Formats: sequence, structure tokens, C-alpha cells
Amino acid sequence: MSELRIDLDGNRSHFLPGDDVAGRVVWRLTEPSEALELRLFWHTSGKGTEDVVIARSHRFDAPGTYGEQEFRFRLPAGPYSFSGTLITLAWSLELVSLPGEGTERVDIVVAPTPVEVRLQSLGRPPKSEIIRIGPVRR
Amino acid sequence: MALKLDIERGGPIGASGDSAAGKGCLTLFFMVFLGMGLAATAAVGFQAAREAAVWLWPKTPCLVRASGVDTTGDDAAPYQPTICFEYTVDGRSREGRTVSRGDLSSSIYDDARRIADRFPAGSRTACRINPEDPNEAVLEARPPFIAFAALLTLIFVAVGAGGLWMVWRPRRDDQGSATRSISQRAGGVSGAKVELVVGLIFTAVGGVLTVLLLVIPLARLALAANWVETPAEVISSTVRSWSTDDGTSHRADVLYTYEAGGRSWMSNRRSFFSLSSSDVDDCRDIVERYHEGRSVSCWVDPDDPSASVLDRAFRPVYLIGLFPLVFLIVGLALLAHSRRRRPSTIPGDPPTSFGGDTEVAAEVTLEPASGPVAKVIAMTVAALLWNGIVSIFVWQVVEGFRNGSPEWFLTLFMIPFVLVGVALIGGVLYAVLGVANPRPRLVIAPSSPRLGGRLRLSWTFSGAVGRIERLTMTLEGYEKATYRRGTDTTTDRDVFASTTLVDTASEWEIANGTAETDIPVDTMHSFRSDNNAVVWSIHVHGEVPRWPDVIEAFTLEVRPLSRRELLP
Repeated sequence: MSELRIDLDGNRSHFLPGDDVAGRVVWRLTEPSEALELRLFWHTSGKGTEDVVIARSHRFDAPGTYGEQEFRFRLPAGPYSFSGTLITLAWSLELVSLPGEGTERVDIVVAPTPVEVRLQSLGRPPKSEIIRIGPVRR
Repeated sequence: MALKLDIERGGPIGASGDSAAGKGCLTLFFMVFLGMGLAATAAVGFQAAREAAVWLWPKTPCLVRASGVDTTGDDAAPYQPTICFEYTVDGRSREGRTVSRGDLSSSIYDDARRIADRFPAGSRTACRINPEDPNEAVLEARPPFIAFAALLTLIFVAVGAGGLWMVWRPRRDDQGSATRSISQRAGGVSGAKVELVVGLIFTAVGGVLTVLLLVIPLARLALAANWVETPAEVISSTVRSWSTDDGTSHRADVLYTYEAGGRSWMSNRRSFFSLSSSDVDDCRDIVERYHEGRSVSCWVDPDDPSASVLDRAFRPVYLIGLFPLVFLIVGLALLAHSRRRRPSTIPGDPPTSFGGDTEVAAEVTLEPASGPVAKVIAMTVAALLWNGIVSIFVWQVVEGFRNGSPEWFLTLFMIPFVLVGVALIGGVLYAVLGVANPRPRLVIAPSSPRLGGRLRLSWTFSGAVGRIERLTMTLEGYEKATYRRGTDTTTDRDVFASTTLVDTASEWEIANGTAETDIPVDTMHSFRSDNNAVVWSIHVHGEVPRWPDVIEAFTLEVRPLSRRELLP
């Protein structure tokens, strides 16, 4: 059974936009892998079709069956981790063995606040989307 | 549902008993598709090879003994050219009756006659002899057009093979780890790519069908305006019926003869748009109207006397070609939209620095999401398409009432469609009136405000601003999520922030003014990916008495906090 691990410095899980995400990846593989790839990415979930965008990645070629490496990524300005009525956006780090025999993932929060940004619904679509029949009078 | 999601997201199938059973069913389903496709493709390929082989056969002189058009006995394609020719092989005279190896039978008499006219009786020409069987000879080697049918059969092969691949493909992320990779799905089939592919298919299919069903018939109709009225006589009139996948189809086949260019011609072309029908009564009416022996007038092309038509008047049936036009327009719209979609972006994100601190312009004039002229065009196109299609059926309803045999089911069925058509026409009028409204011009500073930052708005109006009785402007932030449900693509929006910038009934404040507000700091900056977005916009609403209101939306870019603002 292969083992992949991502250890973040200080066991941090919350980062400000622009912070450095640093740590160490550790691997013990049952068979040599072509490469390992560490990806920093965000993905959406919720009502909309999922979007996944890789912000940063680093490839470790010919990693052998075991080893460890340090890494450091600088986070971009956004998008923030947030959760709304329709969309949730989350950041993660993923270590993938190529061509694909294993994956390890660590979820992080990237936001100005200690937790993800929460969007409170006003319970209506935007005014420009509301179909009117006849003039509106108040 | 779980099984479907697994396939779409590339996850492992077979993790549970249910999905294992589903995998078996899907395998069987796609194998049937693949088997049918392969069998049909093989049959098409075999026939295409048979027809193409004729090009390699040696030529030999021959004499055409007889030439004409005969009936096939098949009502779907009742006419075929019949040519008898004589040729000699190894000193022995033989007789041939085959024009080509392909099927030349047709529902159109003129098609068969044109082939027969190329080989008049008594003429000498060359035929091709099958080297393996000298008793088989053909007059023509034709391109194996049947090979194009493989485009259809290969769709079955692609669906079958693609489906099996989807079910059985090895997955990279389900071996040796309990965690399934999310990042592997990055850069997959994006909405823009789907739009591009669907748009290309719709454009291609809609374009070809529009040319075949709308452009060519209408062009022929226009050209026939100069054709010459000529006496003709109906020599045969019958209802042709044949079985199809959907039941029985019928066609009124009226064969008539006329004199032109110094000889006698026969044709069965009633109009430039001939469709088979499932309603045998319609066909019987036509056969009664053009009964055998009736003297009628046909219209003959003075430049080509072989071309004629019985009825050159415009009929509602010609508008059936508007159906594929809808496909064409939808396809083009999808292509245009896929080009406008930008790839997913990370705001202000040069890879080597913190993009949140980049400088932006001091102020910017905002563009409306859609102007009044664009609204008129969109409403007009929608109204024309909808009512053009609906009018075909309304015509049928009207004809039914005029003939004293109203089609009540169709009449009731059409009522909601007609009401929508009337509403669309009302929408066009409403949009046209809106063009005369005063137009707002919005300038904001800075051009891309930050969360928590100050937004300064200034506005002016062009046109008769005095007609606006009350003006409100609202800054709104909303989520926008696009998803597919079956074959439909739906977009939901939900507002999370709303701030009133202006609410005034003062004439001089409406004409121009400024307003300021702070963007809420604890919300979300503008963000956009293929299917999800956070949008900030300014909604303008000017109330105009007894007239359509001024309603426009202007999108702006709200940036994340700067690094300096983030640090304590």
C-alpha cells in the first residue's frame, strides 16, 4: 500500500491571500512512480457545475519508491474561500502520483477572515433579472 | 442518479453492488449500439466497395436499344430509368439493362427521366464489363455516394465505443488510495468547449437543412416567376403509400404531360417543396383536384423545357424550412458565446508577485449589460422565429375553419403557443418604445474598487431625462451558478449584498449627480470561472409614467483586499 503525505508547516490550515504555503511532502510507494506532482488549486461545489483551477504546481520527477521534499507556494490574491447559497469555493493542496496510482489531499482556507467568507442570501435574484409586466410603482 | 454522477465526474464505477449492476447494464446497452453500428457500417462499406469497383472494369462499345422511365412497384421511390443496351464480349453479343450498381429509383419522375435522356435509343456509347462475369455490364461508373451513409452509422459506433470506454476506462485516481483526485478534473471539458462542440453541430446540421429546406425551395420559387404558363394534362394521379418507422407515409403523385421545345415531356413535380404526409385525406384531396385526364396549366422554364412545376404559388409549407433556421441561429449564438467566454481566472494573479496590489485606472465609464437596441433586436428575432413557426400551424387551423372541417384538438393545442407569440410581439413593441428613453451614462472611481473600499459614482443622462419621474440606483452583489439539467443549461442567481446608491424624485438630481458608498468588506470580490461567478453590478431604474421604464444593469469589477490591508 503506497503512502503519500502532505505536512504543512505549523499544521496551518488558514492562510491570508498572498501568504506562503510551505511544508513537506513524504512518499513511500510500492512501485516506482514516473513523477509526483503537488498541486495548489481551488474548486467549486454547490448548484453550479464544478470548476477546478490549478493555481500552482510542482513536479518531482523520478521520485523513487520513497523520499521527502520541501515545498513553498505563494498564494494569489484570490479567489477567497467562500460559501454562499449557490456556490462554495474551497482551496486544497493535492499530491498526485503520476500516472496516477495515488492521491493525498489537504484542504486549506484562503480568506481574510479565520474562516471562509460566508455570503448571506437576501432571498431574491438581482433586480435586473426580475421580469416586470408593466411599470413598478411604490 | 449516483451512477450517472460517477460517470460524469470520472469516479470509479463498481464501488457498490448497485453500480456494478449498472455497469453491466451500461455495457450491454453500449455493446448493442456498437454491434448495430458496426453491422450497418459494414453493410454500407460493402455496398460502397461494390459501386466503386465498377471504376476498374474495362470499357467496351455498346448500342442503346431502348430508353425510358419505368415504375418500380415501390411507392416510396416509384420511378427508375430503364435502358436496354447491347454489347459484345469474346465475339458473343449480350444484353445489359443496368445503368449503374447504385440504386437509381426516385420519387421524382424528372430524376429518372434525366438519366434516361442521357442514353437515347439508337445512340452508341460505352459500357463497363465485369471482368469476372461478362454477363454483368453497366452504363455508368458513379461515385459511391452511399459511403456518406457511414457518417450516420459511425455515430452509433462512436456512441457504443465511447460508452464502453467510459464504463471500462482505467482510472488513475482510484487505485492504491482512498482519496480521489479533484485536481485531475482541472482543464477538463469546460462549458466553453461544450458550447463550441454543440454550436458546431447545430450550425452544421441547421445550415445544411436550412439550405435544403428553405433556401433552395424559395430560390426555385423566385426563379419560377419568369417561367412560362403552358397547357398540360394529368395522365396519372394516385396516392402513394409506404411503411416507415413511424407508421405509413403517403404522397399524392400527379403525373402530367406537356409540350415544350418541340417535344412532349412528363413530370410529377407539383411544387418546389414536396413532403410526404401521414394524413392520407390530404393526399386524396390533391388526387381528386388533379384527377386523371384533367387539363391544367403548368409552368415551364423557357431555358430548360424539361423543368416544370404545376403550382408556383407560395404556400405556408415552404415555412417549414424555418425549423432548421432556428437550429442554425442557436448554433451560431452558441459559437459566438463560446468565443466570448474567457477562461477561468485568478484575479490579479501574475505568478511571481501578489497580484492584489496592482494599480488600476482612476475611473472608468461602465458599459450596460445590454442596451435598448440590443433588446429590440433580441425580442424581434425571438418574435419572428416563434411566430413564423406557429403561423404554419395557425394557417392549418384557419384552413380547417374555412373548409368547414375545423381541427378542434389542434385549435386548442395552439392557443398557449399563440398567446406566447402575442406576448412576444408585445415585448417587441415595449422594447421599441424603450429605445426612445433617456440613456444613463455611469462613471465610477476607482475603476475596480476593493472590498471595503470607497466607490464613487457619477451619472448623467442623454435624451429626454425630464420624462423620468423617479430614479433609483442599487449596487448589488450576487452569486451566479450555471448547471445542466438533462439537455437544458440553467443559470441561477442569488443576491447577497444590496446597497441603494440613489433614490430620488428630484428632477435636477435625476439629470446628473454623484453618490458614494463603501463596498461591504465582509463579502466576496468579483470572481468568474466557467460555470460559477460572483458578480457586482449597478442596477439603474428610472420610472417613466405611461411608458416603458429605464432599466439597465452595469457590471463592475470588485477586487480583493490589498496585501497591506490584510496584514495586521
